[in-house]
Amino acid sequence: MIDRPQTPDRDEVLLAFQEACPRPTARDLIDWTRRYPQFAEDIRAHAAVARDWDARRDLPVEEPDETLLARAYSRALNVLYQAEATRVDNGDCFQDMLASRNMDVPALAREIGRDVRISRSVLADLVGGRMRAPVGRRFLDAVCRVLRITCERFYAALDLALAAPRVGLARSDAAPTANARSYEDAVRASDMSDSEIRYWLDED
Amino acid sequence: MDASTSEEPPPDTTDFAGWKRAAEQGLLPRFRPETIFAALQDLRFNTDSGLRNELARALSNRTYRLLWRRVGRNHPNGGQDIVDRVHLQVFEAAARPDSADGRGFRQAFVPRLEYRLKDAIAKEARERRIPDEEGARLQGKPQHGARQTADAAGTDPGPEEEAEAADGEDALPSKRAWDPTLLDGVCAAEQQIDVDRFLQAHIADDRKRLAFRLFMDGVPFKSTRSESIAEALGIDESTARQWIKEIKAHLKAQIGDLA
Repeated sequence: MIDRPQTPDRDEVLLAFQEACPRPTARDLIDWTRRYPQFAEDIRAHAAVARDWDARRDLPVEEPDETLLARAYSRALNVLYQAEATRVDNGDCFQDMLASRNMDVPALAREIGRDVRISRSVLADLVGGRMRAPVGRRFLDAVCRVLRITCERFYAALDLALAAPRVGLARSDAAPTANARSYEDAVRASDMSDSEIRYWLDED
Repeated sequence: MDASTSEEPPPDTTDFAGWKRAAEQGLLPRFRPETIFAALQDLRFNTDSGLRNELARALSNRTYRLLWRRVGRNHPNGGQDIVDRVHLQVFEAAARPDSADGRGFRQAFVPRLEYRLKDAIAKEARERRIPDEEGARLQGKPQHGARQTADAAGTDPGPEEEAEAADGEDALPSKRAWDPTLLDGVCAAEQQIDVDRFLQAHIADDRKRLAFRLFMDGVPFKSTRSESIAEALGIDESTARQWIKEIKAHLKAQIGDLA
């Protein structure tokens, strides 16, 4: 049995009960409900299910059909994409984050590049919505450290930037466009040295 | 390399390129669900929706199959509502890495899934339960008769308890044999009923099913010397006896239909 903390967590107790008593007996029920009376009803309810499952262990296994699997997958995607949309809706953009810290892209580059220089062009791509996720680990950590944000907020801001990129100068023959590229491409195309590039691509 | 299976280990959960390759090679179904769950979380910021969808599909199919096999068809809608609900909980947890389930599924996926499934089944059982005044009486509420006096005072059992002991109801579980009257009415040895299947199919109340399973284990209704059905389930003895009596009558009626 688990050591009893001052305020035992329901999940911890019931998971421990599940592991300790896969086929709960009367003695198991009495011992665990005495030890955790505040969860007695739950312990008994879970025991009932466990005994039902034990009784069915030798029965043929049923499999869900493809229609059920497809519907479940569709609902799963909805959950994941809804969560992402919520994350983006609740986020700040990079411009707001910089403005609130009285910074601009050159200042951000100086702060991030204190130990190893980072090209302003890479940061300009990030802030301007011209960089796709994922980014390098060191880069992510550095930006989050300087801006004092979580990686969740970083990627929410990146999604916002991608959704509303800052386009280049207008051309006489075409509307201005913003072409997003990968983090790796942005780093390799910059004016950084080979060692700086290896550093920011987490290759050393 | 996994020595026991000689299979290639999964990529690190943050290795986008590795998971992309694994998905293209059709390897996802081989990996443990914890690993796929962790990769789905750790790569959630990746804008490559193709990989995310493949990870989600692999996890979704694995989860749904695990749940479907566990849930009996004796629930409303054949158990599909319960399966759907718990299946969604997995993906809500994947989207919230800091939640208890978001951490728990990464560590031990199947135990956590079974735990959440038990919660869902228990919740449905509570909601379906028809209020039963006798069955709802909990231990500790005032009772009447010699039984309480003997229990409370810790004295030697009075005449009623001695009579019960003589019936064998209060016998130690190891000495209690299978109740032969249970199958009274079975006209031939070959006409045996799977009691467990009967319970699943005909006894909707999970507490009553558990009581009857303990009864089949040989546990007495009430005892001052060992465990009892009453104490295990937090009900009084008369409720325990009534439940078993009801189920036995129902079982005998079923046997009668088949005779």
